[in-house]
Amino acid sequence: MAALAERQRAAHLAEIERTLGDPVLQQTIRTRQDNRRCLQRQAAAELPDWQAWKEAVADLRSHTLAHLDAYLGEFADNLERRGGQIFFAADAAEACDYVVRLAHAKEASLIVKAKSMLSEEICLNPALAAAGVQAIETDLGEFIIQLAHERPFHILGPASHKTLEQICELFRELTPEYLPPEPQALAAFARRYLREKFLSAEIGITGCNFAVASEGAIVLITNEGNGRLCSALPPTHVVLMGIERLVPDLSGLEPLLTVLPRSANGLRATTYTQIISGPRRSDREDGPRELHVVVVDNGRSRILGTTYRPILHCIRCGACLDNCPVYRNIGGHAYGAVYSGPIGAVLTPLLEGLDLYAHLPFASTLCGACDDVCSARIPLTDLLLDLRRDVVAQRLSGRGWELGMRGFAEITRHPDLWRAAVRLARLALKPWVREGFIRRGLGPLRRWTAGRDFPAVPPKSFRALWRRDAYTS
Amino acid sequence: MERRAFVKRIRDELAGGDPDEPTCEPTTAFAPATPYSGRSAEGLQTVFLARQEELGVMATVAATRRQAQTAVGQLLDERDWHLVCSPGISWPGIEERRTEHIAAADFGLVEARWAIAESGTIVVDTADGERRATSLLPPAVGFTLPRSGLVARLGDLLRQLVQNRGPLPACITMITGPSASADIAGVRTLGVHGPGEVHVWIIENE
Repeated sequence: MAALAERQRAAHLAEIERTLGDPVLQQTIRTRQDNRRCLQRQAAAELPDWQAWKEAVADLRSHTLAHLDAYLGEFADNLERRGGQIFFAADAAEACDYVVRLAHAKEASLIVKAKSMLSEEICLNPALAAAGVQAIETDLGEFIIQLAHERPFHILGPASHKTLEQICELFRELTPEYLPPEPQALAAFARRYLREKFLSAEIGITGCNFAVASEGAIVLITNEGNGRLCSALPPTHVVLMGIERLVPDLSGLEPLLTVLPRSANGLRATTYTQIISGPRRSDREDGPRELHVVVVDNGRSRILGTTYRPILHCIRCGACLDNCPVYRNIGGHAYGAVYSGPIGAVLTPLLEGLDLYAHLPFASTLCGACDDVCSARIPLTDLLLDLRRDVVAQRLSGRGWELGMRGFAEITRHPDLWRAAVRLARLALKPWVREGFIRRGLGPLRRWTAGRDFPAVPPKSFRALWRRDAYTS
Repeated sequence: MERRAFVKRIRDELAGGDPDEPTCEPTTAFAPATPYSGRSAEGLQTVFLARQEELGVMATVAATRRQAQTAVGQLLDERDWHLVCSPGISWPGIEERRTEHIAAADFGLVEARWAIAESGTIVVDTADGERRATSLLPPAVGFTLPRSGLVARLGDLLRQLVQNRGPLPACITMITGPSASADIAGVRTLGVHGPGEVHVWIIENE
């Protein structure tokens, strides 16, 4: 396990290094972040009482989670009453197994999928591929990263790191026809290419933004319409849903659907919002003959009983990524998992194990920008600090690091010791200083400088400056 | 996992949780002011039309249903659209262009029942056997909308759904503008999967 954890951390640092060294990628992240942030702020400013709306979301999420067992039962009953089928998956393996078995039962060779972070989380595509079933992503962003064999770079814009030329190159591998590097032309090609898939797929898989307990209904929102196609055309519709997606009744959708599109894309409403309750009713209408809802736990219930419960309030708007100075520099892939940014830094260690991702809670400046913009008012920086405490308590930070920190704490408590240490450090570290920083440290410093620059001790301490200025003024 | 065991696991975790965690009641009393509450049908129509323009939707007002029919016919002639899918609508001008093959249609025509002024959203459902594909597969789609179906904001629509009781139709779809994506290099592209062109005719006296 320790070796695996070390590998995760090494990959994290390598990815940071790679992202920082790629000027095109740096510019792309910045431009996208600025654009999204600008739209989000405009949309929020237009609505009176924006903070009150977010408060309402937070209250609703908190209430729902506190009674999750009851709402989940109510949802299951109502879904079944409407003709839907429900399956409870304790973990990723059970969820994948259910979908694979269903695919075999339907003799499906092609599955179309709408964007679902949960699907990425449980690694459904590899499971289907191993079973000989082709699953094709239809959200344009997911389609692009599926072609590139990459993880999502952003919760909402999975391919937001790709330039026009890179996307064009990926698409050209699919067709002998000439594709000009123009967004509209590439989008038109994707429409043609994927339309055939929609019309021939036996199963459509989507995520679930919210699930209404009182109706047994699924709420699905997309801007492109691929969610509608996946849920309308194939004869079987499979919904992947995290246990925490519930909302008590239809009235609860008002704050959620008011805040989510504004926080996500700066829109008053997402292009398509569907409320789906059960399969098709009559022969006159279209839509799937079967609706299967796979309710996935995969480590979520374990979080419910801890002080980390508020992280399950998340409605996946992605605003914390768009406002994070760390994400702005290191991008989404450096987080080494499906969820990136501040939400990922908290959620990934909780879902996948703190021992594997002990480095993630430290990938933050704790500036609090994420707290400010969070749609559900999750205290992300508090949770990051709690996780750091857990890392220390569980002794996951390494012996050298622990001793170093303990020594540092001891020195800061004793002024004389501090003065002596500063003087010593100024002399001892001098040979390694380049332009005011130590970039490659020795001994215990190496672990620090592997991910950050260590500032050189300035020639005059604050105390010395204070003394000098106090005398001169 | 078996349902009972699955739910029990959640219940056990909740019971072991932080006893200080406040259990809020759902905020049904939360009724925020919006700039559109209390407007007349005419006022809502003005807001709705402004939204359509921002979204790039071609919206016009027709005094009567007959006028709307004429306007739809004119559009079809102008654009030379031959194949129209419009389950349940048998207007002159539509009949001879009708196709059952929705995927091949040039234009889909749908009668919407409700719309939300604040966000410029059109609401359709499958209650009358309406096909989901009509407003989805063709490259262009049009909606007729009775002005009386305009509500101020989302909450008003949700309350109507609750009042109308009876089970929800299999699918309610809220549509706000043309199908859009910014997944290609952050540039807004239209018509990626759904229709890239949307028309709306508001019928005043219906």
